[in-house]
Amino acid sequence: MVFSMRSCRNGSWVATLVAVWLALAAPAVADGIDIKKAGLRVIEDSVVLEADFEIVLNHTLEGALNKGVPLYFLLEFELMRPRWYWVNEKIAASQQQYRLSYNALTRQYRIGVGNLYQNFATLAEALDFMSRVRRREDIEPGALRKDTSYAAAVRLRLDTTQLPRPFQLNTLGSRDWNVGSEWHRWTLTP
Amino acid sequence: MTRPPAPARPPGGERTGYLLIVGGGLAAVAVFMLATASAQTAVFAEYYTLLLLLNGGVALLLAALVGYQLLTLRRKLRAGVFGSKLTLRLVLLFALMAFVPGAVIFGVSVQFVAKSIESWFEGRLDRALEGALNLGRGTLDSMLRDLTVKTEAMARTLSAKPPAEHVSALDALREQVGAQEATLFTARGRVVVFSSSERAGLMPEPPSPNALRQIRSQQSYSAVEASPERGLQLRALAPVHALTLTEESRVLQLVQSVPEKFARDAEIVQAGYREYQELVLARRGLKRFYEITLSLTLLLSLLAALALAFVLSDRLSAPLNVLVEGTRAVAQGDFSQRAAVASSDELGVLTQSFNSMTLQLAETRAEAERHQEEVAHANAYLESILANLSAGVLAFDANERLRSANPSAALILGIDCAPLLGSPPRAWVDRGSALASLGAAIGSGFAAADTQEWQRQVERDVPGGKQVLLVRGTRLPQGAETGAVVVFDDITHLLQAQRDAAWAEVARRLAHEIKNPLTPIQLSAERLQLKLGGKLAEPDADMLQRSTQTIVNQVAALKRMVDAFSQYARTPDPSMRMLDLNELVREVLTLYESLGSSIRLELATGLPPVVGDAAQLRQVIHNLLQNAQDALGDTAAPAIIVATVASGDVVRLTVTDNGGGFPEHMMKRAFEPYVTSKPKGTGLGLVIVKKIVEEHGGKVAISNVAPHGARVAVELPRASAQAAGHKSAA
Repeated sequence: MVFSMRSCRNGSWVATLVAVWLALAAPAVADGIDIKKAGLRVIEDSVVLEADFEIVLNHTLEGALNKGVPLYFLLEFELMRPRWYWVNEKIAASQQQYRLSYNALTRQYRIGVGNLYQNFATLAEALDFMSRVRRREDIEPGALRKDTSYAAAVRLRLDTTQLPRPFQLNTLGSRDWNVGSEWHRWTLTP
Repeated sequence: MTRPPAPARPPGGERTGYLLIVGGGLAAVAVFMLATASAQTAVFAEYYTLLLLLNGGVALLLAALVGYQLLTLRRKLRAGVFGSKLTLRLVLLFALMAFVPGAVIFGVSVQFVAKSIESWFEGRLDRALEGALNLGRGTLDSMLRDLTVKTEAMARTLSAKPPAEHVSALDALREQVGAQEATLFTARGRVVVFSSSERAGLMPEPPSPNALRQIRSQQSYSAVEASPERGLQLRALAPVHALTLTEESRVLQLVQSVPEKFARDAEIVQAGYREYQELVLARRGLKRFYEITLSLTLLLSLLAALALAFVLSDRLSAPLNVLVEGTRAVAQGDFSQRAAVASSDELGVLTQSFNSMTLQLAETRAEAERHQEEVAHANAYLESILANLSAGVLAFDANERLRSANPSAALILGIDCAPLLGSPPRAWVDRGSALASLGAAIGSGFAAADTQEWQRQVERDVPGGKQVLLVRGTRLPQGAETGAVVVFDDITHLLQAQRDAAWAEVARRLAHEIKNPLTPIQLSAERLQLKLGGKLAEPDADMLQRSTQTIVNQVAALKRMVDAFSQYARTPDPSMRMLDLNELVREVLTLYESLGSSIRLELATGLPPVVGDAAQLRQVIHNLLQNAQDALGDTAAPAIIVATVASGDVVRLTVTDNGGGFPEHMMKRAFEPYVTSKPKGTGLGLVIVKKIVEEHGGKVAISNVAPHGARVAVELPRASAQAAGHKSAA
């Protein structure tokens, strides 16, 4: 915006237009959670979920985080075997909760997964950490068969139910608080 | 006393009442839970959304109920149901009463909540917490800076020494700066020397890879770290430069725990700050939360109040409906008792009063009906007496107009009395000659007798003769009903009987008194003839002869007359048997063969027999023929027609002549004794005929025929019919 104001003073038409276009285009870098890629790697008997997300917190969320409100993210994973004659058979399903918080005293971000935690000096580092999912999924040995198609789905979303109660009223019907990726589905043939 | 019917309440109201109770209960529970949830109780907070939905559902239910009630009320209003307008007004009043305070409380509450929530977040508290937090940060920063300075100083000291001395120097140096833990790493993070105070752990805290990276780029690193196990601790790293190029540079790390009390306080400040910030961020939600709760509560209580208003209004106007139904029923004559409204207020009293009123009405009406019935009964009794009275009764009002007449009056007068009603008797002249004499008699009777009782005999002409009525009149005494009553009897037959009896007696006495001297007279005359006939000269003897003959003849005539009288007086008892009338006629006609062809017979064939005395009936025929013969006298072409014919239940015998006919003055009195048109008649012929015929249950009628002549018709009942008539006469 500052740039555009200056352009006006210079009287350059083209520059103004370009500036306006840039100003309009800037928010096009959507905040929210997008999935960049996801896949399952079968290593011997175990299956490792590899997913890369792009997480951009909007101002509301970032403001709340910086005021000390912890944000909970939920990673959901499903592995199904499609059956034409009946509902799909669930091979594996898991949920992983991430707790992203900010320590105002030490000015550090922290991500907690279960009992483990890690501190980060900046939000970007913390989000980077959360974006790269490498997770071993529990699957019964021998459940995956060769030459069979499986449907996998994964998503990461903000879990508003873990927010403090009054916040949940804030979040009702608010786009700022309903953040999450769509289900990303792909077919897997081991 | 009828049993009061069960209390009539509209079934719709009953149902609505139950619905209302259920809805109200649900609303109360829902509001209570919502309010409890607002107090942040964990269990309810968990289900806050569910509670909101539940409250919404209850609100919808109540709204549906109110809608249903509104529709019902509207339908009632359209149909003009009595009491529905009152219900509407009461509902509006109740709704207003519920809405205004509710809205006021709601507005005040919302304002209050909004204001108080806003007031929590005043800038001072905000700044105070911020300040406290900054204070903590500043302290930590200064502690960290202090540690960093120390670390750098220690690193420089170590740099000045060969690496071999590092191990021995570290402990001393650590003691010197007062650090808790001092560790010397290689650039790759391998521990070279570790020194710690008693309070620290046995193992060194490895620096984060990030920190090592920073150190490798020849920068110092320092950070405050928070971990659940160790609490707050300060970490500072500084590179220890090697003296020679061959030597590897090292990294010195000092770790110092923040004093426990400070750490605790800082943590409290931080927690407070976080909670405060949470509240600040959540205040919009909090306000909305309270607003929603309050709005739902208001909505629920309003709807419940409205629904309650309907039910209450129904209940309030129900007694009116009972009264209206009662009034309508009374208007239609139904005095059955209405259900009393069981309440001790004025409405209950009103319905009870209404019931006692209808009870009194019912009793009064029953009384009146009974009374009326009694009167009707008495009337019917009188009516029946009057109807069965053989005398005719005419009742007149005060203005002498006919009010009523009993059936016997109509029967005697032979007219329908209905047209006469309302007309005064003097006006009856216009109604025909039959009534003229009666009307005149009644009118003059009342005029002459004033208030006295009067009695008159009235003769009136009726078809086939004359009727004599004995009319008695009296004015009713002054009282409730004024007017007059006339009672009359047909005494024609009575008079006839009296007259007949009188004549019979006269005839008997006359016969007796006259007959006695006749025989001596005749004997004397014959003796005179006998003794003197031979002694007298021719002329005298002839005269004697003629005179005595005359005497004898006249005496014989007198004897015949006296015999006729005595015969009239002493008719022997008839001996009844079946007779052929034609046979009798022929038998009698043999005596009149002298008349020759002047008699013509027109006898019907197959004439039914009659029952009668042959001698008497012969006498009847004889008398009639005698009369006809006498009437013919010197008529030019005398003709007598004797005819018999069967007509219905009677057999009719007519004797017609073409003589002079009955003189007009005789027509009425032809059947009275000694009334005769003949010079030599006794005047008993027709009387005897009538007597005999009437004894046989028949009738005699006389009439003149055109151009001249008379006809006498005798009707005798047929054998079977006559037998029945005889029995009834007996």
